[in-house]
Amino acid sequence: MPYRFFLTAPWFGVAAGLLLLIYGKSVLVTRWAPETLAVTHLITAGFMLQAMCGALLQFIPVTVGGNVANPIRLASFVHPLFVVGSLILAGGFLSGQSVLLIVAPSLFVLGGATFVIALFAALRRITVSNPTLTALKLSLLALALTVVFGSVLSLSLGLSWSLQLLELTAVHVGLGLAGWGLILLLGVSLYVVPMFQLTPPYPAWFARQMPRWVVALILVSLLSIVVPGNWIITSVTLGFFAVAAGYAVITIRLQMRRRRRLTDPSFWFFRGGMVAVLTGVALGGLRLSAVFIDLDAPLLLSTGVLLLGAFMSVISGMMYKIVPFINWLHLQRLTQELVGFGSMPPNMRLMIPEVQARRQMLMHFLVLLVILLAVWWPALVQLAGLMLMVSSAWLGINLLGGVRRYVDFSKQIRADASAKES
Amino acid sequence: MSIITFMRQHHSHCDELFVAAEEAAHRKDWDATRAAVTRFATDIEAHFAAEEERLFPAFEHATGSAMGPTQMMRMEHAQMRGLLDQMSAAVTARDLDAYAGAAETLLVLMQQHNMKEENILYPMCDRALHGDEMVNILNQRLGAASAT
Repeated sequence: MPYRFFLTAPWFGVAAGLLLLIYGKSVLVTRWAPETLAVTHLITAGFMLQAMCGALLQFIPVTVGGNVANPIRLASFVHPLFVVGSLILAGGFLSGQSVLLIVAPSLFVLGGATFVIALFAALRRITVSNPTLTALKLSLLALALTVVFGSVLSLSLGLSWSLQLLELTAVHVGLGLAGWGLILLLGVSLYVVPMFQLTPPYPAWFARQMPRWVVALILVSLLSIVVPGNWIITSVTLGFFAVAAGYAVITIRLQMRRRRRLTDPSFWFFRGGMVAVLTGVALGGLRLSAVFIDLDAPLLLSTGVLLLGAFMSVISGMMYKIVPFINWLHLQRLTQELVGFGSMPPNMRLMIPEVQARRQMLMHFLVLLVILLAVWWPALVQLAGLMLMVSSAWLGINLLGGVRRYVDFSKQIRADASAKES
Repeated sequence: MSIITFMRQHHSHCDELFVAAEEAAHRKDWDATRAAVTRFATDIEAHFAAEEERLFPAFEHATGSAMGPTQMMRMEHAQMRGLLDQMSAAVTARDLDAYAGAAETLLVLMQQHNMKEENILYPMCDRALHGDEMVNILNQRLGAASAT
């Protein structure tokens, strides 16, 4: 099982927390600061990229029926490239060493291209079209372009090229967070929100249109490279904020109309994620529209709320569902093979104790609260860093526990089968 | 009416029954849970039977393949039957943890199964078969089950 992405991703959250703890409020001075770039990339290229790729490998076969050829081999090739790439990239930002800023993009290009091509090959064979499939394809395309733009930026730092950094960065961020992140989030939500809580489906027009709006905004952001003035970037950012807010409001409304009243950590991670989208967007949007110029500190905190609050929350909630379910599916197949029909493996809830997931979730939401308070008291960033380390390590330990239990249960099933035979 | 519309309605009907049973179990009202689980199991079994005895053979005949998506769907039906048995056993033992675990697993399995049917298999069935005729056949099979 390609769990390797899930087992390493949380530790990049720990690393990001460590940098926040070490550098404190200096990460809030400007987004061009080396420590700020290192923190954001440990979260995005480290935590998010790994978790999202790992989730996609599990999600595509189960939901749209796509067969990724040899997923374990694909994961064992791509995963080390992403892990080492993220560490080298963060190291490159912090040290300013040219060689690191040249090596890191090469690893991401190799890993990213392999992953995107392999997944496109699987999606191409699906003949039925639906909004999730479109969203998955667009988000993968955006991932490829995010890596391309990111690589150009990293190389330009490493080789001291003189490029339009501001504009290229805006395109890179739009592609990464809105194109890859938000569109994928929508594609996954279209499935899992109705599925886990039995809500009505997303409105068909929204499911179809939202990815188009994001793509249109990304295309407009390209204009900023040739048209002077930063009004294009600001307007596009506000556009992304509006789309994200619309998605969050619709999701919360659907959740409120759910037929299943029972809640679990995954539900609250999703709900918290949507509240974080609205909070992050409000924080960033207010600063942007009020002043219409680039003010870094509140914008950076808004980015922090969006990354940790929206993406990390939803991703954590998904991982707490995916690992137990995939464990169960594999154990079920093993049981059937060895013991025969009629025997069932231990159920999903025995894979990761809910109380552990719930406590880790509370810690995660506390991190977000402290980050919000840092808008007024920037020094709190250090405390947020320490708490992020704890919460991310806890997530890592919970997921590792889920994988350990899989190993234990499969040993038990094998032992039971051989006892039955003898 | 298309096959997808008809079968989606029945999925939704089964979802309602699942929720009713889950809520009764969390109230620890075991008699109500027993009744609700029995209703849910009866109707979902009728759904499986309608597919396995009517829809899948017709689809397999029309497309000439018994190894495609229908085989996967049959396997998942067997998995869900196993989980329904676990839920019933938990009701008998009045064990909420065992019930919640089996029910949670069944819910995820059932939902991803339904999504695959609604997104992939039923549209293929609608293209390969006469919708109205098949809906009548399925309706009869589901009706026969709920009458017993």
